[in-house]
Amino acid sequence: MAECRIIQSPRRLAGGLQRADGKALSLSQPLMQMNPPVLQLALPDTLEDTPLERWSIGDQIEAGQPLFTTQEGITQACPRTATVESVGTGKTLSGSPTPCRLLNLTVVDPDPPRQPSLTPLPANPDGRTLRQRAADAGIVGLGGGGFPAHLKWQHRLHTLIVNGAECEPFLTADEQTMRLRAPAIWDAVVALMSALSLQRCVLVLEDNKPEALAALQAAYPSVLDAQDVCITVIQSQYPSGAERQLIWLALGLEIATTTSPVEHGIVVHNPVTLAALADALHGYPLTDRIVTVTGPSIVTPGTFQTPLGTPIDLLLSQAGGLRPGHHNVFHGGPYTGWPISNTAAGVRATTACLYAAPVVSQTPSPCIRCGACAEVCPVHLQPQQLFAALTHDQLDEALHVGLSQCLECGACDVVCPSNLSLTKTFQDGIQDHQLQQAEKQRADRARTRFEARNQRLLKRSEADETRRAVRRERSGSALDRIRAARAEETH
Amino acid sequence: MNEITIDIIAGVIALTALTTAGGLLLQTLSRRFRVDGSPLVAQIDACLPQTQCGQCGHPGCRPYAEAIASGESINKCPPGGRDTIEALADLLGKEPIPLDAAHGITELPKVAVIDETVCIGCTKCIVACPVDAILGAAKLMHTVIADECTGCDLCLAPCPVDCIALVPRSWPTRDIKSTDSREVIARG
Amino acid sequence: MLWRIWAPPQSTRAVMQSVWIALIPGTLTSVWVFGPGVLVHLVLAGLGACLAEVIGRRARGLAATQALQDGSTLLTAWLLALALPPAAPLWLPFVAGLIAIGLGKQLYGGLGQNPVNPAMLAYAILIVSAPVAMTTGWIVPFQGWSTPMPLTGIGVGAVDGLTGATILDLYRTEFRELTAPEIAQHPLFSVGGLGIAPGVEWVALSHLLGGGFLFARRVIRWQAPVGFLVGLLGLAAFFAIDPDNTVPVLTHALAGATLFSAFFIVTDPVSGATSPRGQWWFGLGAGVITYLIRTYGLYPDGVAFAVLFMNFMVPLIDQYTRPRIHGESRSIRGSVRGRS
Repeated sequence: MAECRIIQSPRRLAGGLQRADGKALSLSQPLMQMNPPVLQLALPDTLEDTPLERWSIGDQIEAGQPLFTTQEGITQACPRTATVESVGTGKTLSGSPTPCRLLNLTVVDPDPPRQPSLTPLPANPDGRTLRQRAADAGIVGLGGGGFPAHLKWQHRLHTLIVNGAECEPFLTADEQTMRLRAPAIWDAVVALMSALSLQRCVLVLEDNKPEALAALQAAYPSVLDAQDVCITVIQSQYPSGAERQLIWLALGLEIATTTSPVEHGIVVHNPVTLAALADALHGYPLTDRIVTVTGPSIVTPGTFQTPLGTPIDLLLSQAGGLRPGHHNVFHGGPYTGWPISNTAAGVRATTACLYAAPVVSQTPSPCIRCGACAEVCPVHLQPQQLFAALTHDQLDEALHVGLSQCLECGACDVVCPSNLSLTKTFQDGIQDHQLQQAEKQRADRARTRFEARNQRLLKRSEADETRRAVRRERSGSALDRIRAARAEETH
Repeated sequence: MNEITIDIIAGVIALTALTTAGGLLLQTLSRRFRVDGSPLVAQIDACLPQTQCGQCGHPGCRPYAEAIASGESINKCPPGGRDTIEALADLLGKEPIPLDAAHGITELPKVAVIDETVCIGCTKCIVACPVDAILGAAKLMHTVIADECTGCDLCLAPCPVDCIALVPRSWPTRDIKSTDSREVIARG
Repeated sequence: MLWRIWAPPQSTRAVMQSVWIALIPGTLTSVWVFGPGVLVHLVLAGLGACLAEVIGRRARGLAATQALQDGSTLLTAWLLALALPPAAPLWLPFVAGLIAIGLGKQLYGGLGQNPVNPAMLAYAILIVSAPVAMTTGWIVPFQGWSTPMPLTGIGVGAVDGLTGATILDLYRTEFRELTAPEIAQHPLFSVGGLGIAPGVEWVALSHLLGGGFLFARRVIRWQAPVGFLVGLLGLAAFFAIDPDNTVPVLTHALAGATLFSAFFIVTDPVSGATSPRGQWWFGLGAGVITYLIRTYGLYPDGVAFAVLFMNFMVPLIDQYTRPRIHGESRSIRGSVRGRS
């Protein structure tokens, strides 16, 4: 029996929160399978072709059949065999003002036997094959980022970090996956290490997941014995699972703010993503994901294996529905989540958690610069300075003191005695900055075009001028001849 | 020559020497530590919105920037509005003043759209466009490259069949991500 | 529930209230040592401060009722009442309250906006403009209960002998002729207490108790108080190589407003530095300047001026003590404004 090395990380976050994690709430129930009768899939805005013209109402789409391919090359497979009910535009999850294109499907067989729709790959595929497979199977970051996995593998990599920290309270999708699918996670690690010729793999866990640790240890394959593989246990602290923080905790490396981890050869993957990758190797594209439905407003919180596109409403009612009263449902956890305004919309690949909580209203009072926010900031920002700059419309100053490094983790909000909405202010500031940049680029483009046109007009008018001068000379001589002729006549 | 005169002359000489030395020092320092800033006109031009609409009375943003550099008022740019005036005031060390309404009012950004069923292909708008954002050829239908259009409205007047309209540009809006500032997430 | 008292406060109001609680031991000891005048001052300063707060908020078009809810106004008044001489004429605390909140806080836009400590601003303004009332109102310790409260400044003369200088004043004036050990023979040292700074030392130690509470509740960090004490007492200890001509270190520590300032004045978050490192420098600067004013300045106790001076240094301190952002090669210093 192989044994995986277990290392206790000597480092801990300076800052961060240590709060009751609320994870037991959804872990008390076994994982449940969702078999929805209808699906609603949102199509990405960037889609080049118009797939809405590809289907007409009543068409049957087989499970696993490709629906569309995004600009990044990610192919989304149809989660279940279904008929097209309607195609059109509608409201997004967040209720953003620009509508999105939707595909509504009626599932033919809610609980079909699973069949691989792609050809299973042989053992130890090469890097190219693996990248192609990840793209074809629609493997994106399932921790919540949604970044296409195969794009990360284009870089020269040497270290794989499996991010099993799942630091945000209430979230249990990663933990449940590590408990139930530890062999699949190791399969994906083995495949990735050989395909990308990685030198080491560090699987990082918070110390509040002993069962997941035991499951991973039990499933550890002896193939990896010859490799530099270890499990690193870190202290439970929010937000230890943020990418740069995790790398620091696991390896003691600080990634420079101007670069991304992959540029340094470090790739971080969520265990749910790896489990999905293992399925993809066996021919199953990404059609389902695990979703935690939890929060104080949910009657029976739990984890659900959910086909993508399952209406949020259906998932909530499967979890016993909401308690009576006024509640908000958030996409993501209690810290990083954002409110869902349209609960009829379908589950996305990035929906790791649905968190429901009673609506709470707090009256903010002025900032007294107590510095509690700075104490918990995991990137060592000075939120009170950022806040002061942003509330005085000094975006430049805020950017100078590190606004763009904000993780939007929400730790400062929790400790602020003045109940200020710091994270919201920072999010708005970051978005304002992006808008300004976009407008500036637009203006720069217009300036270039204007100047190019002026150059062209100038050249043309110069050319016209020379041509006219030549003509005048010629016609001038002709006139002279006529004049001379007339003069002769009169004489 | 009495003592007072000598004192005066000595004082004059000493002060002259001192100021000359000081002047030379400052001159050397300013040469050595000169900051290569971009020319003023370019800096002013960077504050302007580059719609090239001519509402300020100049044929484009750059000419207006040149005019501002030589002393023209900074409140003649309706598309830029308050933000531009404030940026210019900041740059030039002036007080921000309200927009001169004689040049127009600030509106949301717009984009020109050609009704292609009406267009007769006269190319007059193509000539008028300051940023070459209209495509087409004589007797052939024209169209606007929406991404490059600045919404300056200079193409409207020359059109003999009035087939061009300005519509609000899809303005990138803040994604509604977090709750109303009063409402917070109950974090259990 | 008892544990709630020890948990870090969750609202601005709770922060202010913990400071109230922390001030109780020092206030009770002050009343014991200096008599009921302290409580009268507390009420009058509170009235002045609340009046200024209400007027200020009205003038800014805000609801006056919310003004007192956060507890910061009364806290400022409380700090003032403890800083003023206990036998000062009765108009003094009222005017001090008005100045502190009116000029020191509302003028800048209310809670959180004031660049300087309001209580110290009022103290400094009054010591400059009403020096007699501000310096002669000290009562001989433990005689406060038999000293009548003066209604105006004129009353002070009438009870001469009972009111007068503080220990620091005494050293200042007597150094011209006597050495430190000789000054320590003065009858003022024998009225009771430890003989270091009679009476006042009990008040100071009570404030130490309150400060300990604030620290335990994580309302204040250790950097500012320790910096202040290191700055002040470090210099005092260094110059104590000449014991005849310097005030003893222990007197520096327990007389005047040393411990009171260390825990309740230099720890003010609004007008102080924000990062722990910045708070250390802020406290250290205030301590050093306090020592300089006490030793070489015109005023017997220089905490107010020292704190005001350091308040104005705060933007600079904040800029140069920003922690290094995770992933940045070095900390961001200076400001980009005007250069972008």
